[in-house]
Amino acid sequence: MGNVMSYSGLVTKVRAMQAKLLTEQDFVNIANMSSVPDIVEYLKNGTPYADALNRMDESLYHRRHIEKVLELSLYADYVRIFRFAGMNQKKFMKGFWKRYEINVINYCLRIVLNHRDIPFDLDYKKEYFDKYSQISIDKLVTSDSVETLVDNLKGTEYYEPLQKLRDSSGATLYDYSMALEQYYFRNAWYKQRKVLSKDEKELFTRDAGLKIDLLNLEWIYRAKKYFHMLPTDIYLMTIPIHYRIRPEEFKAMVEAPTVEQFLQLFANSYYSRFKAVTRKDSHPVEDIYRECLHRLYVQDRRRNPYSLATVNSYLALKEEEIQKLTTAMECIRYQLTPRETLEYLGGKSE
Amino acid sequence: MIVKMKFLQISGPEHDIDRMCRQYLSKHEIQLENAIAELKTTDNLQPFIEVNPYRDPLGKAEQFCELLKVKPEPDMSMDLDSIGEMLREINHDYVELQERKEMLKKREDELKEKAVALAPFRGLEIRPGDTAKYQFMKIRFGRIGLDYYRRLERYLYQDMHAIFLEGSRNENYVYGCYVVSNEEKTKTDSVFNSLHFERMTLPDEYAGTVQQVYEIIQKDVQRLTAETQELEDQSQELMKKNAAKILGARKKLQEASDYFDIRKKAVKSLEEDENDGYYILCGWMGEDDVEAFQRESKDDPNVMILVEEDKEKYFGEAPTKLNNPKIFKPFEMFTEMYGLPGANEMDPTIFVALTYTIIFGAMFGDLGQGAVLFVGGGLLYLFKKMRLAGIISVAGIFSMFFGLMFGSVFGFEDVIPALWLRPVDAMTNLPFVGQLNTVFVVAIAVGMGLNLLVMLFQVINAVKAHDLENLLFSNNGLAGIVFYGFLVLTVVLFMTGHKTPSNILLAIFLGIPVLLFLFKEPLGNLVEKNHKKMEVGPGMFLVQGFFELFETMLSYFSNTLSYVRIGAFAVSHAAIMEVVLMLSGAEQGSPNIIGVIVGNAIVMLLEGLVVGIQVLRLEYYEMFSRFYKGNGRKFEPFKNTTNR
Repeated sequence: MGNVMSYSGLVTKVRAMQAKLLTEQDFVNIANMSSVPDIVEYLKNGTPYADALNRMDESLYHRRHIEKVLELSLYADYVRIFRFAGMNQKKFMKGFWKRYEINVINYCLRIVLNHRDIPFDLDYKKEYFDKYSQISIDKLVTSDSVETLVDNLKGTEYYEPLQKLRDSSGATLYDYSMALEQYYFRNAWYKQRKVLSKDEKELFTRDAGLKIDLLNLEWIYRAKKYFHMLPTDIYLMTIPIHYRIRPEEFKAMVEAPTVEQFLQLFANSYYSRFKAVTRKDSHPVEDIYRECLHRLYVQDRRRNPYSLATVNSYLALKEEEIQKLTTAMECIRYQLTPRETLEYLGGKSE
Repeated sequence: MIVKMKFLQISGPEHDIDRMCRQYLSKHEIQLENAIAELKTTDNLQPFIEVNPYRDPLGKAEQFCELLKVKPEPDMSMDLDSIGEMLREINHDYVELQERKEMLKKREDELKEKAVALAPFRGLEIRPGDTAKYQFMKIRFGRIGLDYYRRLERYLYQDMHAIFLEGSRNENYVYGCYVVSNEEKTKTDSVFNSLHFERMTLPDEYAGTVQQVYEIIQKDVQRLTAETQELEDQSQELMKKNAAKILGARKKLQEASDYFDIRKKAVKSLEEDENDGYYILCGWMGEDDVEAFQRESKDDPNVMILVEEDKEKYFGEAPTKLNNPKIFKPFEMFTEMYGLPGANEMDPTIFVALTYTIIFGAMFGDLGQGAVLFVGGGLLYLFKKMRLAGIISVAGIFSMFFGLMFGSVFGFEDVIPALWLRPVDAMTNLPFVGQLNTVFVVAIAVGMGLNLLVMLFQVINAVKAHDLENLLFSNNGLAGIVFYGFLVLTVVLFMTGHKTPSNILLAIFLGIPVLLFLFKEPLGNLVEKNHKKMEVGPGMFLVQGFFELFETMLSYFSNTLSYVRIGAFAVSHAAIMEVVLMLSGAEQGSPNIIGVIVGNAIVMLLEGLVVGIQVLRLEYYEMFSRFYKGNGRKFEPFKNTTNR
C-alpha cells in the first residue's frame, strides 16, 4: 500500500510515456521505407521525437544528427521521470545516469587515445549534463590527452579508477573502458542496491544479476569466438559478480578450450531455458541476452506495477527502441530488404 | 609646528662623496631627492653606475647571522678590509661543511629509498640477497592490484604451479612475491603479466631476511642522520666562535653599503679625465640643520653647499617635518593618520592635543580612573614608546581634572565634593526647550565656540594660501563666520533671556552670507579675475546651488548638535558606574571589593575605547573637515639603517 502511495504519481507518468513508445506495427512500417528522410517524416507524426525533429533543419536529416535527437529524447525522458521521483527514488535513479556519463567518457577516451583529429561533438548534450551530471562537458572538451582527460574528471567518482590506470603507464583504450565498465557494475551491485527497500532490492538484484550474468556470458562467447583470448585475460575482463551461474560453472566456461564446448556448457546452464528466435547469422548467446532482458523487464512491470521496476523497464525499453531505430536507419541506408531489416530489428516490441 | 625646509645642492670631488656623507649627513637629517630628475635641465651629468661592493659580503654576513642562536654584543673593532678577509675565511670553512653535509644527505636519501622499497615485504621470510642464486626456481617480488589479486585467488590460483606469498597489503595493492619452478616460469610470468603484476627489485647487496636487511638499512640511516647533525653542530660552532665579529661585520657593512647607496640618488659630472669629476647631491633639509651644516663645512675645501631659495616652483612642495614640544609629540600620530599638513597649512597638532585631551577628560571624568590611565599610559609610553599610550596618559590628566569637577572617584560620587556639578543631576531651565542637563547645554556651547574657532583657522589657512574665494565666500570662510556667528549670537541672546536682534538685522546678517554661499563660484571667479564661463545653465545652477545650500545648513546644524555627545558621555559614565556599584552592592553599605575592581576595569576599557574613538571622530569630522586638507608629504630623511 505504501508503494502505491509513493509510486502512484511516478507510475502514472511513466505509463503515459509508455503509451507513446513505438509499436511492432510502427517498426514494420519503418522497415518498409526506402530512405532516412522518410523515416524522419514518419517519426514526425505523433511520436515523442516529433518536436525535436520538427525543429531540425531539413539539411541535417542525416543519420548522425538523427541519432543525436534520439539520444536526447532518452535524456529528456529520464529527466521527466527524475523530476517526478521522490528523494530516495532520485538517489536510485542517479545510478542510471552513470551509464550515460560513462558513455560520454568512453567517447572522449576514444577520441584522445586514437589521436583522431575530429573535434569533440558533445555540445548537444551539454544542457542535460550541466544540470544533472557531476562531469563537466566544458572541461572534458578541453582534454588533449588521456592525462588531461583524467585530470578533468577530478572531483567525480570516475577519477579514482581511471587515475590508477593512468599512473601505471601503458594502459590502452581497452583498459580504460574496461575499468569504467567494471566500476559501473560494481557500483550498481554494491552501492545502488543499498538505497532500496527489501522488496525492491530483490527485484533489482534479479535485474542486475541477470544482466551481469548475461553480459559475462556474451563477453566470454565473443572472446572465444572472435578473439581467441586466453582464460586469464577473460577473467580480467568479466565482471567478478555471479548471480545464477555457480563459480565452478563460470570457471569451466571460461576455460573451455573451444566455442563448441562453451556452448555445450551454456546449454546446461540456467539461461538455456530462455528460448529465442534465432537468426541465421546471429548466435544463441546474443539473442538470449536480448530476449531474456526484454522478458524480464516486461514481467517485472507486470508483477510489481508500483515499484521502481516500472521506471527501470521503461528506460530499458526506450533504450531498446532507440537501438532499433538506429539499426533500422542503418539497414535502410545500406538498402536491405524490409524482410532483412525486420530480422535485424528482431526481438519483440509491445 | 612645521619645520621650514630648504632645498640644498651639495657638491664636491667625486672620490670625496663617501667621506662627506659620513662626516655630515650622519648628523643632519636630509631627504635626498633623485638628482638626475631634479637637475634635468643641466647637461654633462650622468648617474653613478658603480656596483655596490659591500652588497655581497653583506649578504654573506647576514646569512651567517641567521645561523646564530645567541647574539652577543657586536665587535666593531675591525676595518672593512679585515672584515672581508674574515668573512672569506669563515665562508671557506662553511662551504666545505655544507658540501660534506650534501654528500651525506644524498647517501641518506638513497638508503631511505631502499628502506621504502623493502618495507612492504618485511613479513616475508626470504633472503633477497640469495634469490639470484637459486638454481631451480625463480622468486619475483612485486605488487598486484587488489582487484586483480582477488581474481587470482578466485579463479586462477588453484590451477597454477606457483606459490604466491603475501608480504603486506594496503587499500590498492597486495605486495608479495611468487615462487615458481623454472619449467613453469614462462607460463606463470605471462599470467602474472596479464594480472598487471608490477615487478620490483629489492636491494640484493645485503645478507639476511628482508626484515634484517630493513633493520640494517634503518641503522645506517640513523648513523648518517647523526653525522649530518654533527656537521650541523660544527657549522653552528664555527659561527658561534666568530659571533661577535660577524655581528660587528654586518653592522659595519650595512653602514658602508647604505652610504654607498647614496650614489643612486647622486649624479656625477662628465669629465675627460676620470679623476676630475665631481658629484652633486640634492635634497631637503630643515632650516636649523642647514645652518649647522654650513657652519661646520665652512673650512672644508671639498664640500660646496648651495641653498636654493624659492625652489618650490621647480622641485615641487617641500616635505613636511613636524616639530612640536615634547608633551605634544604623541599627538602627531593623529595628524599623521589624517594626513600631514601641506607646505602652506598650519600644523593642527597642538590644537588636536588641547581639544582632544580636554574633551576626553570631560567625557571620561573620573579622578581615580583618570589616574590609572595617566600612570598606565605614561609607563607604556616611556618604556615601549607607544604614541597612543602617551596620548592616553595626557588625556588621563584631564580625566582627573574633570573627575574633581564632577566629584567622581572610581564611580563613587559621595567621596569627594563636586567642585562644579554632578552631570546626572545638574539641570538648567531654558526657554523654549525646557529643562535640560547642564552638561548638554555647556557641551553645545563649547561646540559652537569650536566651530567658530575652526572657521577662523580656515580663514588663516586661506590667507596663507592666497585663496580669496574660500577666504571670503566659503561656508567656512568669512561669510560662514558672519552667518554662523550671528546665528549663535541670536540663540545665546534668546536663551539667556535678552532681547534678540531685530528682523532687519537678521535678514541682513543671515541673508547676505547665504547669497554669498550660493554664488560662491561666480563671485570667486570675479575676485580672482578668472574669466571662466559657467558650465551649466542658470536654472541648473540654481537647483544645484539650492541643494548645496541645504546641505551646508544641515552641516552647521548637525556639527553643532554633534557636540552633545560630550555631555552625553559625561552623564553615561556616571550612570554606568552607578550600575557597577549597585551590582557590587555598594548601596547596602559594604561593597564587594572584587566587584568594584572588575566593574571599574571593564568600564574603563569599554568606555576608554568608545570615548577615544568618539573624540577622534569629533576631531576629524567636525573640526578638521572645516579647515584642514592634510595633503602634505612626509619628510623621510636618509638614515643609516644601523643607527635606527
